[in-house]
This record gives sequence, structure tokens and C-alpha cells, in this order.
Amino acid sequence: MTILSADAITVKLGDKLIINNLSISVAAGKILSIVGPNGSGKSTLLKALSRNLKPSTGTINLFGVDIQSYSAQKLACQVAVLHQAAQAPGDLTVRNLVEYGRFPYQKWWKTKNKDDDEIVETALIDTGLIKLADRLVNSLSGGEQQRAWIAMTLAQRPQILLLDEPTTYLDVAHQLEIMDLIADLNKKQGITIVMVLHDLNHAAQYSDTIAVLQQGKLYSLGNPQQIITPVMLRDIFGVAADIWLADDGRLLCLAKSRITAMTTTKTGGENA
Amino acid sequence: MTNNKFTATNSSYEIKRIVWRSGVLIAFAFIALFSIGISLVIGAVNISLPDIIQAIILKGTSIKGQIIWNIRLPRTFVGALVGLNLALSGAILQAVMKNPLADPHIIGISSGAGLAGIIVLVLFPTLDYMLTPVAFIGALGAAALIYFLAWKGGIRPIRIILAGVAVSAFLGSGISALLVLYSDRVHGALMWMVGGLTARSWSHVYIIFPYTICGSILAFWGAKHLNVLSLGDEVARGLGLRVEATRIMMTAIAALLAASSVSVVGLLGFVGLIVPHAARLLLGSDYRFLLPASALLGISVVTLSDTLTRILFSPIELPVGIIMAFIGAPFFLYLLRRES
Repeated sequence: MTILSADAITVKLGDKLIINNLSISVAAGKILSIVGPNGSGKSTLLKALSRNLKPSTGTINLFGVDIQSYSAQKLACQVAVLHQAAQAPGDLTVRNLVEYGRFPYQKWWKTKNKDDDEIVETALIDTGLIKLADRLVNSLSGGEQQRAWIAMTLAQRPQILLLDEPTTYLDVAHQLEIMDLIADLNKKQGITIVMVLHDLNHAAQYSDTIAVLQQGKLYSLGNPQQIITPVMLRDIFGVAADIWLADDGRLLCLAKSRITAMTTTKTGGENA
Repeated sequence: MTNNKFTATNSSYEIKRIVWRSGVLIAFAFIALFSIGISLVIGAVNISLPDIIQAIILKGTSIKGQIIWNIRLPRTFVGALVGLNLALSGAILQAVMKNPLADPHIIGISSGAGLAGIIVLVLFPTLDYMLTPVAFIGALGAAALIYFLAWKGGIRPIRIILAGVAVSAFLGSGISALLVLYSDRVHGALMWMVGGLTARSWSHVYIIFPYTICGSILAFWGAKHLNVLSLGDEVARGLGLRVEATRIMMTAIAALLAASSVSVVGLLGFVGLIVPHAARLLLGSDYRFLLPASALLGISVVTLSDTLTRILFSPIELPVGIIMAFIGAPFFLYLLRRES
């Protein structure tokens, strides 16, 4: 079942065409990873899917209804977004931050109720932050901070969680910790995951479906074995790579050299 | 997972913090009352507290009573309300503009109100009852202009300040020109340019009071939204906050509070800069506490500063704006250095 879909969307930033006539659908309960080189439009696509950017043409449907027709609050009860490099005010505790996840459910004249407290508590437990609940967010390590932000999105009780490069700035152990947490939330709570990833091995290991973007268009879409191929790595990233299956069935890829002829085709910055 | 795990949701840390914040608020309330008391007692003629109470009850029949009822009481109230308005205005602007240096005076919102107000006073003196509404429109116009000039795919703190300084200088030159050209029509122009409380009467209290009430209610209503906004625009949007609408609404409230102040005391600066920062140092960034704390501290700062203006070079009175600038400008520089 399709939960979120983009239908022939075009997104422009200023005059610059970033997403060009792209269609994609996200299956409920699955993990979809979006990969591609810098400037291919990954983050922009995610922003469009989260309604942070409005497509100039085409529509985005959530549960078969145009996403533009949702009220801001109602959308926040269905879709949660984890942005890159979010910054918390200096005196915010982890619990304070997670409590903001209940904001879309609260009327302005009401403060939090018992249900909110329970949901916040559960989010803290699920992300392993219950012991750190009273610590200031900014005093935590990078991985813990990222978990705190994820806990906030969990308190939104979303159907879909959109994440923009959730492992950036983290060391390898914390990267795996975050990826495991995301996979866990998908498996145990059935939250549909859409994330932008840089690391192809993460994408291969954790995704049900991978979408490859090239200059604002969908290059290919499928399961990891279909997508992570030497041909794709050559065409999209301009590298020669070894790809093999590990003993435990994981798909591994290692880029070994740049194919110089390909590197001239792509310029431009990410998140422009 | 059992349900009894959920009973102790407010940890001792959280409770301590709430107790501390409430304690600070209560202390601020006492300081505000104390400042109002001081402002009533001290002046060219010192009047004892019992005399003041008597004067208030009898509505000023004796000489001292006259001084209290007709001069000192309205002056103190205007000072308190102006302090409250400007402090709230500054606190709100710092949140919506994501800028610790935002203050209605520095970024030109007060100049917008001032220019519009002066135009009414000198060109259409018969429409003086329209002073505050027109000043509000001027303040809104200045705010819109600042956003327009500073907006470039988002708000950058430094651009807001630069645009604000430019707008402030531009509108300020208009004010100066009108004051010089029509110097015969504007009494106490200099006093008005720096912000002063001299000879404020009950009519001034009546002008500002409704705006203080409305502005405060709206500001406190928006506190939770300002908190969400402080997580950043994208996160706030993700949480279902209508970011643009909130920003416009809260800027309008800040403009209303600033404009009503300008209407009664002129261009009084720096209150909206100093007060929210002082409150933030003690209370942190939660606007549900920060806004009432700023309001109370704003009352204290302006009434105490005004008392100081009356006794420093007595019998000559300085405009309170001079004292505020004297404290405020170094504070502004300190914040500027700390930011970069």
C-alpha cells in the first residue's frame, strides 16, 4: 500500500531547477533510502515530501490526499521530520525537547496531559534516553543528541518519519547505533521510513527500497541488490567499485578509483 | 513496560526548575512594586509613604496630595506601562527575528511609529486621537520593510540588524526634518526624541493602558509558539507550527506594544534590549516564564531609571532615555562581542 507519493513533481529553488518531473511512491511500513551525488536533489526531494518546499508542478499525496490540503497540525500528526544539524536552545533538557513532539496534538489553551506524559516517557525509553532525560541536550554527545531529536519525532506518533542524513557528523559506532534505532522503529512500531543517506553500505544494509537520484531525476528504484551495482556507481558517482555479498548476506561496496571522464559531468552544491 | 512506570513523570530536577522560575517571577513582582513605590516617594519633593497612601485614597486634596495624584502617580504609571510594553516587545522581537540584538528602537520599529506619530501631530493636529493607531501602522510598516530588506532565502541575524539600522536612520531623518520644519508645533521635541516621562498625565495613562492589556494577553498567548519557533523554522514547521503566520502575528504584537509606548513617551531605547537578556540570564529561554519576567523587570527598570533622572542633577531633570542609552549602549556592545 502506498502511503506517500510524489506525482510528476518539479521543484525549483529560485530559478534553479532542482527536481525535474519526478515520480516516486513510498510503501507503508517500509524503509526507503534516497541516495545520489551532491547536488542531485536528495534533500530537496525530502523537503518537498515533508511540505517544507512546494513543488511548482505535480502533486504529493499522503494517504491518497493532496498534502497541501492538510492543516499544519494534522500533517505533523502523520509526518515527522528529522532535519540536519538542528540546534536546541542551550537550557533545554532532553525531556523538554521530547515534549515538543506533543505540540501538534495540543490546543493552545491546554498544557500537557497524562497521555502526553506517557507518550514522552515511551519515546525516551524507546530511544534509550530515559537516564539522560534531565540532562541538557547540548551537553550530550552527537549520537545522543541525534537520539533526542529522534525521540521528539517519535512523540509526534507519526506514520512516516523523514530523515535527512541522520548519521552526518557521527563516528562509525554512533552511525550504526542510529541506523539500528531507525530500523528498530520501523520493525517494532511499523513507522514508514524515508531517509536521505550518503553511505551506500548503510543504504544497502537497512533499506527495503533504494532510490537513486541524478540531477533531479530518478535514475533507478528497487531493492538493494538491484540498485547497488558497478554500473550505477560508475554512471552516478563516477567511481569504479567492488561489490560483493558478505557471509551474513549483507551487500557491501567499496569504491576503489575515480573514473575521471565521469567526474566532469556533475557540479553544484548540496542543499543549495 | 507497566503503567506504574509513568507515575513519576515530573522528575525532581524538573520540579526544582519550576520552583526556581516561579520564585524568580515572584521576586520580580516584588521588585516591580518596590520600584513603583520608590518612584512615588522620591522626587523634587520627597513624600512619605503614608502621605502617598492618603493622597491616593483622598484623590489629592492637600498640596502633597496634588503632587502625588496629578504628577507623580500618572508619571510612574506611564513609566511602568512603557517599561512593560517595550520589554515585552523586545523579548518577542528577539524570538521572531532569531536575533539577540533585536529591540524595537535599534531595528527601527520605534522610528516607524515615531515618524507616523509626528506626521499626525504636526500635519494633522486635529486627528490626535488617531495617534496610536497611526503609530502602530508606522511600526508595522517599518517591520515589513526590515523583513523585506533582510530577507534573502531566510533570516540572518546580522542582516536584520544592518537593515534595521538603515531603516532606523532613514526614518529618523524624516522625524528630525519634521521636528525642525514644524518646531513651533511640537513642544518638547528634544525630550520626545530621546524618550522622556516629564509631565506625563493621566491622559497618557489612558492612551497606553488598553494596548498594554491587549498586547500582554496576546504575547502570553503566543509564548508556547515562540518556544517552538526557537527550535528553528524547519523543526517548528515539522511540529505543525505555521511559522510564517506566527512570525507575522507576533511581530504585529511587538509593533503594537512599541507603537503605544512611542505614542506617550517618544523614542525610548534599549529597554527592550536589556530587560529580556537580564531575565534570560536568570530564567532561561522558556518564553512562558521569560515574557512575564521581562514585563515585570521592564516596569522596574524604567520606573527606577526615571527616579534616577529626577534626583541625579536635581533640580534639572534628564530625560529617562538618556539614562537608558547610557546603560544600554555598552550592553549592546557586550552582546555584539559575545555573539561573534
